[in-house]
Amino acid sequence: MSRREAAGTPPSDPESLLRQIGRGDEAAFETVLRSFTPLVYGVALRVCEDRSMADEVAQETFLDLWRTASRYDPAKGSPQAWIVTIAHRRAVDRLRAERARLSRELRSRALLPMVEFDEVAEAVDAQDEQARLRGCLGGLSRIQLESIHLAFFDGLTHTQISVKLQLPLGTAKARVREGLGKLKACMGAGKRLGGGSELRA
Amino acid sequence: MSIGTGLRAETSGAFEDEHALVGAYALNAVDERERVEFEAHLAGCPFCTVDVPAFREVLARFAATAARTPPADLVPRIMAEARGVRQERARGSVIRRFMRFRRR
Repeated sequence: MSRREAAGTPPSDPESLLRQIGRGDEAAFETVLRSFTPLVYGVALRVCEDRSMADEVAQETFLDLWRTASRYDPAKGSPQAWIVTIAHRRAVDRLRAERARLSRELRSRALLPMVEFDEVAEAVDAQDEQARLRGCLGGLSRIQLESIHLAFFDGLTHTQISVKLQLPLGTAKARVREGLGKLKACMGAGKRLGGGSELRA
Repeated sequence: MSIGTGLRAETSGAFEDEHALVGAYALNAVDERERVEFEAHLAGCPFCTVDVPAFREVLARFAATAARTPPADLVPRIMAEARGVRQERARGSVIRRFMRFRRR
């Protein structure tokens, strides 16, 4: 048990919680779980379109987090970005394995409207940040937006995106790079996600 | 391979820089060969080492729009599972280890 925990003042910001988890603090792990399962499960469900796969991806993501929390380096990004990166990579890997196994045809899905703001989403992220994201997304071209969307939520590679959007081979990667560059500039270059306000009760 | 030139010809005939995959990489929208190639580039590129984490911050916000209520038993199941999983020790600095030692 850490000193902080013993003193009865558990930290509530995600970075401190990750440090606590790295030292085996189960209460901190549960706090992070309760805060981030909607995000991780939601991303996995969106990518995999299958509840049991999403469930497994969420389990694997958090067990990964539990195992490697001591390696989390705040200098390299916010806890939310770290967690989303792990979850998204696992979901995409799972989806591709599944697609390869079934070698099924890619189903086309509705691309837009892309954003459904439900209560859970608002609880996970500060409302003003979501509003800003929405504004920034408006500055992207349709191709940039669709390319990012197909990559992130449908787990397509840039090559598959070029085929799907009938772009010259090799240009989808330029479109996602431009789009992410615009979002980065619009949302504040290198700005990290708010320091844990979403975790305060 | 683009080693040495920093530019390579694409099948489309256009030239592009060696950072071209930075967005696709941050999105996991690369195949395994591209991932390996880009990570070799990333390790020594001052631009991409800034862009990849910055893009991931943007994508974390993007991801929040997909948040969904998970099954009610997901958290307790993961908690139970974690109790049987061994944690990695921090590759901590000497100072960190010293501080931990002092706390005992």
